[in-house]
Amino acid sequence: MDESKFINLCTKAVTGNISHDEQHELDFLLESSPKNLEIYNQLHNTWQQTEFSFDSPLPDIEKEWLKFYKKIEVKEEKTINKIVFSQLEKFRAGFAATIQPRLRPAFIVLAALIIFISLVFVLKNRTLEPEFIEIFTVNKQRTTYVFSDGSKVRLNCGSSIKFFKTFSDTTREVHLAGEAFFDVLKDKRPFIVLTENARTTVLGTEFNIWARNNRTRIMVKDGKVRFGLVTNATANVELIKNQMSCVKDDLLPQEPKNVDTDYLLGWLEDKLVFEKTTLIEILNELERTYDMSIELKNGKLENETITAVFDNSPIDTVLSSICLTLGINYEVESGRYILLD
Amino acid sequence: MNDYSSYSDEYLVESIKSSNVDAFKVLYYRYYENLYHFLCLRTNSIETAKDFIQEIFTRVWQNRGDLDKNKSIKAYLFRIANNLVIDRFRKRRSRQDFISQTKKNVTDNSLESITEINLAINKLPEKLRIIFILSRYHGFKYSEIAQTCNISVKTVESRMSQALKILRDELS
Repeated sequence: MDESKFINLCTKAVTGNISHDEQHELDFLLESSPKNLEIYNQLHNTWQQTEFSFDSPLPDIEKEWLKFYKKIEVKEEKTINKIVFSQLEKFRAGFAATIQPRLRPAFIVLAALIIFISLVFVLKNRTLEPEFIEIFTVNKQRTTYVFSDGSKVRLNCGSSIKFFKTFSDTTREVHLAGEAFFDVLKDKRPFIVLTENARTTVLGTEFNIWARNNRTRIMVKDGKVRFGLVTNATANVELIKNQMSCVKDDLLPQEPKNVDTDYLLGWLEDKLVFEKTTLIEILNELERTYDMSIELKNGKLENETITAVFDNSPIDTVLSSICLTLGINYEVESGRYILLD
Repeated sequence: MNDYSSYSDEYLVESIKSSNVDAFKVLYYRYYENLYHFLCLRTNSIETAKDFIQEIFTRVWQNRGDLDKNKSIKAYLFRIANNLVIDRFRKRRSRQDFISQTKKNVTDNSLESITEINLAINKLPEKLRIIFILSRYHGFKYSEIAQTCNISVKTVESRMSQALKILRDELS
């Protein structure tokens, strides 16, 4: 055996990397020659000599971990920040084209406010696994979002959706408050929209859901949709193209009725469409759309119904024609609109 | 928080892959001391060691999706550590600088444990030094060193015996 092979063997022994067979071989070599034994002892001594205790104090690992944790946390926040911001950018760009120049400064303030609120909201609800996203609009704001599966949603003013960034393997689930139009791509996983009280299940279609104050209304523009209560999985109705239904509280869903969805979904083209809509609902919609405060002096009028279409008209035009229909007047008092008797 | 401290590295890696921060914290605690001593020895600076550890774990976290539970996470951590040290060497242009830096640090007492032995180890050629340190001070088996340095076990064997021979001549 040449010397380097022998030293390899010795090294394996002193470093604790020797196998059973190799140990036998080494024992034999050490016994057969005093020179071998000397080399072995030297190497063994060197190994011993290099013993070394780390007496430098260990840092506070908890503190180091927290420092580290903050760093990765900040990184995750940044990505969320980007999502929110890119949404805002899109929405701002889309809006800047339509908004009147004199309103732009107000709009920038609004945008800044939205960033702030979104961040507070997103960060509050943020968990590292899996990423949970909330997209929402404030009054006067509409936005479009594309889900990870390619499906699209258009959010009306003052609405929100929540969902996991990556859908699960079995369902695509979205929680909605407010009004949204969904354009769902076909996929083997059902797309489920949950509101306060209703569950809507589809495979691939276009439909609109309006959900406020424990009432959920659905309109199907295309395809087929199953619509029912969150609390009762068996009480469903099935809707096809150009049908609508609604649920109130935990009452069974209304039988589908035929409607003209293209006409009723005017909000997708920035129109306001009211079809036998109660005054209170109209006023709430106007508050969200124009970001105004409107007060109704005579509460008895709340359930009066009105049918009207407004095509991107200013708030004063809208209120004038409503008041004309009802035979009342309105006044503006420090930025608030008041509908008088 | 789940108690992951008794879990194997493999299990931790699986959890970390699905972005489990609690599991990652256990990994951090499990290897902090080991990495710290390794880096103090290699860089002779407590501050650099601390910075490098943060950098190592940041990289692991960022690339958590690529982790493989069948590969040693310990080897992976030390490989990043070693790469950081080598990069630092390159920036210092020559190893001579590094050794004089070491001497300077000794006189500064910035790291009291630096001794004659340490200097001898630092004089080893880079390829041998890393292997010696991993084996001597971190209890790495040859196979683990091979994974860390991305070389064969045979190469580890020969480099380890070369290192020991050089140290023997240096210290006798």
